[in-house]
Amino acid sequence: MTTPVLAPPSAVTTKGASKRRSPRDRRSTLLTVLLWILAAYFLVPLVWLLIASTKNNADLFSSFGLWFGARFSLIDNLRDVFSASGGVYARWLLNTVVYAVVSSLGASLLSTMAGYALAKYEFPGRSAVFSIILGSIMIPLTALAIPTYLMFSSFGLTNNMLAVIIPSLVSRSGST
Amino acid sequence: MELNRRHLLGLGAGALAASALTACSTTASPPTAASSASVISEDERTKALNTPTELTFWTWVPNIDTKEVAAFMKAYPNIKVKVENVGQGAAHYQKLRTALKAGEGGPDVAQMEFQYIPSYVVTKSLIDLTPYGAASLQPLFVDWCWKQVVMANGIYAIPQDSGPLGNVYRKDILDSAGITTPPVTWDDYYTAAKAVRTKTKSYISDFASGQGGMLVALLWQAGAKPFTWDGGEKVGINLSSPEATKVMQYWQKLIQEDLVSTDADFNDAWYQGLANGKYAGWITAAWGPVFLQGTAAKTTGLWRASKAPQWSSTADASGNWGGSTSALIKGTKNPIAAYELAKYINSNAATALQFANDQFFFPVTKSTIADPKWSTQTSEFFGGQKVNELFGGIADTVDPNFQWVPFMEYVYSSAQDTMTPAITNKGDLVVAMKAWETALKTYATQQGFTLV
Amino acid sequence: MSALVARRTSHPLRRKQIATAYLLLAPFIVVFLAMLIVPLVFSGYLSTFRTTLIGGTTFTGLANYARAFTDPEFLSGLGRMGLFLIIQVPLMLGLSLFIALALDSGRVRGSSAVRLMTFVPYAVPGVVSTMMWGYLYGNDFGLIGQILRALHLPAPNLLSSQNILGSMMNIVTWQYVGYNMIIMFAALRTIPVELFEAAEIDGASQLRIAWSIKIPAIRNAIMLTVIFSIIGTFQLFNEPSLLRPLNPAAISSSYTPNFYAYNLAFINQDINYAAAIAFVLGLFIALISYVVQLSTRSREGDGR
Repeated sequence: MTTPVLAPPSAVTTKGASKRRSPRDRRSTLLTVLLWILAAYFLVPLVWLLIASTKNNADLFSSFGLWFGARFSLIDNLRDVFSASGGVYARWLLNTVVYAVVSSLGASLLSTMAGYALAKYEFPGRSAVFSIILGSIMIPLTALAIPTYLMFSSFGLTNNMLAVIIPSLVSRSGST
Repeated sequence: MELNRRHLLGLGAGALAASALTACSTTASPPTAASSASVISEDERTKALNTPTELTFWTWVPNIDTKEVAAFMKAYPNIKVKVENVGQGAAHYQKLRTALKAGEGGPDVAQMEFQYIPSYVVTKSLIDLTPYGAASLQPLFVDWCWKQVVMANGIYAIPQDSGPLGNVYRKDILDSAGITTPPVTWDDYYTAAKAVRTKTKSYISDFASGQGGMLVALLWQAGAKPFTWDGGEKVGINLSSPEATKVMQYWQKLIQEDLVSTDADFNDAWYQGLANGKYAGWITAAWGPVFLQGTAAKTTGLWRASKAPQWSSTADASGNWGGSTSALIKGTKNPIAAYELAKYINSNAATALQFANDQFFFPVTKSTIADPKWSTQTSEFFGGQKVNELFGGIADTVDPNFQWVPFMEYVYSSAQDTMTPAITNKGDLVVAMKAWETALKTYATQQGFTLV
Repeated sequence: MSALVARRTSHPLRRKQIATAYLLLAPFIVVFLAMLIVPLVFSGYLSTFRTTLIGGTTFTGLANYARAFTDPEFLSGLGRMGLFLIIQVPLMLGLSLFIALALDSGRVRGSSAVRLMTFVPYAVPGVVSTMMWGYLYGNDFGLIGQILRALHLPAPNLLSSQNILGSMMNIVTWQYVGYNMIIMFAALRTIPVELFEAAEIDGASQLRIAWSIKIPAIRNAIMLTVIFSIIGTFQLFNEPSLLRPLNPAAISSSYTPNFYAYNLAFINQDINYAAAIAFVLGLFIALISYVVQLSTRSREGDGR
């Protein structure tokens, strides 16, 4: 069958993918230990980050990373963040929420429609479209940044949320 | 592009990070030779100042909006100024370049360090200030700074602050190493470095590996003239002169004998090094102490400032590292109002003094330098020393005939590719400097300049 | 899916189907064209020119491309990423596969918790995690150094020129194992249980089941992660850009091709050459991906 190699996993539908049996009694201690060590690898840096956010500058560089410093400065640090440059961080957070919501809804809508068409219909130009979309992922964003900026500025849209939202509707995020 | 931190860097002085000293680029003609464009009339000026206008001002100087710009808006209530910090140093210039390329989205006025002015004049990105009456400002400013903003038949910026080079050091650490007077010559400095290294756990200073600005300042002090530009198509690049070689050989010796560290500067680890005494001193500009007062606050009172070490016992020369101006950016729709903003904050006696006293800038206006309110200020951080007076004296010894090439962004980036590895790996700095010179010459030729 | 034959296109139902397909595709294609194709074409156009400070802009055809292919900085950046690719990607994907299989086997206690914790790094913005690791790596004050010194072990300089590439590999691995693992795990969950129940009854060990049944069954998912990882590797940008201030000697302005293109555009003001570099990079990525796909295909014969 000619399912393209890069079709998303869910396209590999098989009949009778019945629900998994419940976990057996034969737990492997070795696997559990290994996996929990790996989980620690993923988590410890974030624990460090959390603890670091409660330290002031001096403590950050003099105390042990995984324990608290002499002073508990979390409130001070948070206050600094939200009062910097006239409180612009709160604005940025709000912007991010807007971007995230609008872009994810918009991108999901556009991609689902397009994906459905590509997966379920046969039409002239189908494989061409598919290859072009796939190929476009491979061009680094650096090639697009300046032309996109120049395009948006010719429409006067550079200081505008749309300049972030519109490109993200067709973003290829998911790769690095 | 460096991603910069926040407040620590916001502590003051304008041009830092990747900045070096600015060179005046003048042609053979005296600085007052500006374009022969006629000056706008008083009526035009009054009209512009009374028309409701909104200006955008890109600068990374902290608190400028509540201080100097607020004073301007109070004086001219019809003009609203939006101050934006779009990044410090390299990040600021990148945004400026991008906005200029797009033809819109840029500011009316922008902070511009001395050394970058030629780079923006060559791309015709700055507006000549002569038609707005800038020539009349010349007597207000220190001569060598004024020279730095005049080139290519125009006046392109109004000076704001400068960075004469000096030596700030931890008196307590040097005392414990037996050095009771600050080093006068570079030979003295070498001896002191050895004493500090053997008798204490500190280095006498950090020779920052990625700091093109400091490198150029040291060359400036030694009398080298690495760059020239005639305002047109001719550039000169000379990093292998006897003076430049002398400077590099000196520092190579200190690095290879482990008498100075080579950590990258202006990052968190480096600030900590200053705070906890890893570095017992810093060869820096007048704005340097501002940074110390932030992170190294717990060492208040232990620091002193002195002249930078000299190349001979009779010499008295300094260089300059950094310093900013305010420039008008091409594309501004309100040039007269923008000019008045730049003029007011930098030349008005009250705001100029504010820059110096409140934001610890090194003044470039003759009035501030002569003002006892500034010069006699003592500094608690420096144990009561009259630091301003000292740096004021140093400023007089800065060689006024220093120039820049009109592509300094590339110069600093190239320094990081050639000089930085050599410094970090304790290699041959003279060879590295030659490689830097070659890279710059290649770039200049590629860009269509004629090498002289 | 059967391929519809051309002679059937005139059938009215067929025409309606094609129209529906185009309609569904249209919004995406419109934005795609505007946001990706148009800038790409413009970028290609830019790459055929040369702008100098003195002399302005001149048409130079393919000169920028010739320059790219002989540019030692660009080529060494490519080589460095090639090294990154053959070391980091198998390591990361191997780890992801191992975790996915282990969690799928049901033999791990607290497997949903582990799954979550493995995925959390992906939720952290790339810039934040790179900066965080920059702190952890710090020579004088970093956590790793602190722990090693406390255990009286030698603490290498993880940001030095020799170690920085490995340090970057670690950051990317930490960030993306969870993401790749979830893709593989989801694929594993769709395998019908009957397939390996039979094998279990026959006495096959879990390892054998994993090797012979599960892995081949999720070949497509694995291929997806491989391609995305290849693309991501050659587009590496955050790590060199954010770690550079910590040790500028270790990371040059052309450390990775993507970083090089960025510096060319924004520091050297050379957007024409930057555009050419970006294109050559893109072509190179496409080439490598194609080769990888081909080689795995031909080994296993035709797909299902």
